[in-house]
Amino acid sequence: MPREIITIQAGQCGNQIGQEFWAQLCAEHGISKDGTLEDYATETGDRKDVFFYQADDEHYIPRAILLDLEPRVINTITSSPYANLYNPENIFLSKDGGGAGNNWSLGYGSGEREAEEILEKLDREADGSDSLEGFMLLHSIAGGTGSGLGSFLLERLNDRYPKKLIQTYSVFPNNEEMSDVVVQPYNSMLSLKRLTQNADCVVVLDNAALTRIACDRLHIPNPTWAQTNQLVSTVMSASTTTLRYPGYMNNDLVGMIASLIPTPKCHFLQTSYTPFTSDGIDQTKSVRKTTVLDVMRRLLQPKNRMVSTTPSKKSCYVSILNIIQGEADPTDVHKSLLRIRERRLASFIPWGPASIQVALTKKSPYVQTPHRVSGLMLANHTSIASLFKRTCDQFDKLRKRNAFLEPYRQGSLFQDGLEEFDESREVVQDLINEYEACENPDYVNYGQ
Amino acid sequence: MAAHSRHGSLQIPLSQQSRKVTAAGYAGPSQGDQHQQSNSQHGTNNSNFHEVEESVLLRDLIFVFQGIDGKMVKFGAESGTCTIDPSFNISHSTRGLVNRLTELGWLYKKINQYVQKTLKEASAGLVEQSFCSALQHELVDYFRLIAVLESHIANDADATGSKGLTLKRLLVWTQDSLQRLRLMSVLVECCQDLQGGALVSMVHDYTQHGDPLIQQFIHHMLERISAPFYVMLQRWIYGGELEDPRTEFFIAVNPDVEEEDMWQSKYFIREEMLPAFIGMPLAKKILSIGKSLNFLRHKCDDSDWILQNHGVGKSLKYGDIAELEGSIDAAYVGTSQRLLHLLSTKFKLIEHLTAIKRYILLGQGDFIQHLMESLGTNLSQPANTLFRHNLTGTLETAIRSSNAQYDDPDILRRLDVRLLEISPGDSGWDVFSLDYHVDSPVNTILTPVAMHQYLKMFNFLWRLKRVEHALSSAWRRQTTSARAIRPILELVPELHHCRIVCGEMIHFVYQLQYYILFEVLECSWDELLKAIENNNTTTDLDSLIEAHSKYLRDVTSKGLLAASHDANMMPRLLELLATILDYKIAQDNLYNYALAEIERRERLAQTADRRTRHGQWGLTDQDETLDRIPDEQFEELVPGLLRTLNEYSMQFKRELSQLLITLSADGDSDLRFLSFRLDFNEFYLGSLKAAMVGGGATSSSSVAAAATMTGRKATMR
Repeated sequence: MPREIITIQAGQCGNQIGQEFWAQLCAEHGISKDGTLEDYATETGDRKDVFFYQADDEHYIPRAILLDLEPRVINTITSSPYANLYNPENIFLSKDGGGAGNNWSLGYGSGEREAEEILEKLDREADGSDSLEGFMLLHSIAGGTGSGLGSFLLERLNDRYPKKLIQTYSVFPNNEEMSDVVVQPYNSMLSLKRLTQNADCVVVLDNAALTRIACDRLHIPNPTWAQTNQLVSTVMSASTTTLRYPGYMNNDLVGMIASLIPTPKCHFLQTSYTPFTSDGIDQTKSVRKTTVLDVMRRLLQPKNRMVSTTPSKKSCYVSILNIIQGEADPTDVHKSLLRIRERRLASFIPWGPASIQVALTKKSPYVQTPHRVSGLMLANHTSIASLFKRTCDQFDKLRKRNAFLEPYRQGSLFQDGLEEFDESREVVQDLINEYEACENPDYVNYGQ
Repeated sequence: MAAHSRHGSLQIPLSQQSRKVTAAGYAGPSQGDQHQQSNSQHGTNNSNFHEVEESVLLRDLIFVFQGIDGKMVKFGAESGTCTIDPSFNISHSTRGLVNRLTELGWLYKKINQYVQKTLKEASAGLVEQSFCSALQHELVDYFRLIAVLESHIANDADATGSKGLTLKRLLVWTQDSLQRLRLMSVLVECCQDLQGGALVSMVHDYTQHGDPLIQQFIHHMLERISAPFYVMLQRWIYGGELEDPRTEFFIAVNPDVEEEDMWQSKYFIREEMLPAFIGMPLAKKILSIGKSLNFLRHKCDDSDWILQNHGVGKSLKYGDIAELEGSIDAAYVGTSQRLLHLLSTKFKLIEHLTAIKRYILLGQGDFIQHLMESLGTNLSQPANTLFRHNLTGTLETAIRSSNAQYDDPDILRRLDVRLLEISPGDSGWDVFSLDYHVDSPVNTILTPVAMHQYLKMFNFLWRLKRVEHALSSAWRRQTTSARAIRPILELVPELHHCRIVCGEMIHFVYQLQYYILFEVLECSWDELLKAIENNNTTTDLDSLIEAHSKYLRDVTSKGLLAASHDANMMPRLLELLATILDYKIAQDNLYNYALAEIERRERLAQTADRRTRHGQWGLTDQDETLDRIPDEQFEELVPGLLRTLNEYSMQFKRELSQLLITLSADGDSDLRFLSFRLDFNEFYLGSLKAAMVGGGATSSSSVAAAATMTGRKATMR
């Protein structure tokens, strides 16, 4: 009875990340590009059935649904060596193939139009699992498909599977510089409302931080999408290791995020990863003797964080989960925790107990990495509010001028007016407020 | 000379002996006078008044040397010493000489008596017998001397006139033998009633004598005396056979020992039988070798190896101790390695230990989770409604649907369900236990006692997992129903509070488990594996057993918080866990209520809709409200639910802070670390301090406790 997770990848970014993610999982589980088990994959410590199911012919098939409104990325996938990995019935491509044109409203609209077909795929996939734990949505919130169609799906999933958890890996736009997509703040705001209200756990990644990490950590001057997406897939595979390699604790999604998310609205997680390696780059290939303490200390450093936030003096951690992979010495955990508290490397919420949880997991025996130990931090940190604030500021600038609103009016949600925008803005403001309240001791009485 | 004085004890019996001899036998002036007097009294009766010839005396002495009465020189009936018939005319000086010479006869007689007596005894041990034979062997030399002397006397008689042998010469010629006989008689004296190893030890003491001649002699004797001992030793260390009919060996067997205790208590060392030249460490090694061989033969069915190996051993004899040690070490290493090798390969020791860690200590998370889920409802029933066969079925399913299915079938078949003894009022949770069967020879390490400890640990971990599971489902409920019950505005702060308390509990249970996982299970496991793999620390089965019991001790004492001086630690913790479960139920009730309320509102809204469509008023006065909790519920039902929740949450906080205070004040560093983990961000410390500043409401004890918590933390760094 695995706690299956169905992955939904929507839009260009979602599918690109997904493609990397599945390639990574296949490599870690010893599954070949066409889904058959490699001859060398004889270890039995892993659970493949959380993310894959076995077809009759011993093929492992990802529990993945690929959605897009324009064929480019999906065509890349179906012409890649991994083409036969996916269940072709799980691929949805809009018939007109015109894409969402970076318009949330169009994405959402095509969701509504194609709902039947998409939900049919979801239902079939859900029926195929014994005890479905939840869904995992991969998307970006800035464009049209991932954000619009993704938002639509979040709402529908809630109605249809009220008892299942919804986790998303959401890529936020690089809002430090002006983007070529001017309506990005609109799309982000509308998606954020759904992420706040309809998702249970959002892993926030942003392109600004991903690019920065690719430049600084991996020494790639102008990282390509493929390269930053690989960073994301590394994070995703690392954050799912405890699900895929069952151990004493954190063996299901609830077990992982229950302690990270004490109150429902504050469910936006930041990630850090160290040390990064990229296949294409040789500079980082040198083997380093990393220790658990090194890893845990580096994970707390802002430069390894995959979200660009600007913490204030009061910003603090609600909780932290470190997933350490590799040959870690369990006694090191003790020392590292003592050291971190002694040096006050992390500050925590004042209204309840909080600590750094550590999960030690095995590394896949089939994937060679140059590092002895690597670590992923999943953290609930109040500074995430600064990211939302920035989105709000940019949104407000556009909204004040009523700029570029015309394309949205075509969508069904906006036919009677633009209240949806303001409502979303309100929801996000509430979220910001709650995160700020979270920094105070009287958060216990919040909402009274 | 240093050697001489060091072994003064050795000198004492010798000199005592000679003093005794002196006093009883010869040259005593007072005795001499007596003889003289009696001589003169009876002298007249004697027809041959002229002086007795020396050759006659010599002939007499030859008899005496063999323990037989001569004509003139006779053994006294009581004292055993010789007297010269006073009626013969023998000069004073000659008497003295003769008296001195009779000592040989006296010594011989004494030794011979001992030998004869011992050989006749049916109960004489092998070592004793060989002691006798060594004595006899020496006596052969002595007889040869007598024969030589006799032939001299005969020659002298033929060739008259030539004074070949005189008393004085005799005295000189017998000096060597005298010394030997004295030594032998000393040995006979000391070794009366001694057996086996003790006898060897006693004789061995004399090898420390400073006189190289004596040393050599004793050494020579020992080679013979210890021969049976070495035969036994050899059979023991190369065949594991204990052939010791007279219980002379220093290793003994207890025939009443049960099969499973064979290693621990079947064979033991009898220190009194341990020869002095074998030290205790060496003796232990020897014990271990034979034990291992027996273990291999009887428990591991490995007689073939013993047979093959049997010829390898060389014959042992008394002599170079270093060489003996070398042979024993070689046998020890060979046998122990063979045994350890068999245990880890043929008998899968490591696999069993891993299996116990995975199943009994809950390491295989997906399996445990499945078991917990499918058993959950069953176990909440009263214990006496549980049936073992139902549970075994569930166990099978849990194995099949988790990664446990890939485990060795031999391991899995040992995994079983066990119901502990039921006491009244127990629920299934109290009596359910997993069990793991081990058989011979692994049960020598995983003894029934050890398995009992494991089950105790399982019981605690299983309870903890149950609480984690309950909290997970509470969290899932909160999360998944949050959207549905959002419209009940009255409950928003309450539900928020619920989440926070629940978060606190989750934090507590998770941290406790992380502590057990890293500080207790993984660290100890690491140590165990290192110990097993390290050939320097794990040399034989004994050290393996010790490594395992240390592991088990660590796991249970740290895991069950038994390291504390405070015996209430565990009951307190269990209480706390029970409170969490109570809280979870109370919270479920609140959510049930909230969902029912939402359902009511939905139904009402539908009714209103229908009425509106039919042109009626949507809501009438009889209807309850759509957007509020009905008054009577809001006044009674809801406050009741909230009160229970609040009570349990207060109880939880109270019990938790009590636990933290005791933990942080504990002398055991691991327990202090647990308190450090449970309060990583010093939230509880902060509230204690706040209480301290606030004063008033709190007792002075919590103030003091806060002080100790701060103090302890400072010292811990």
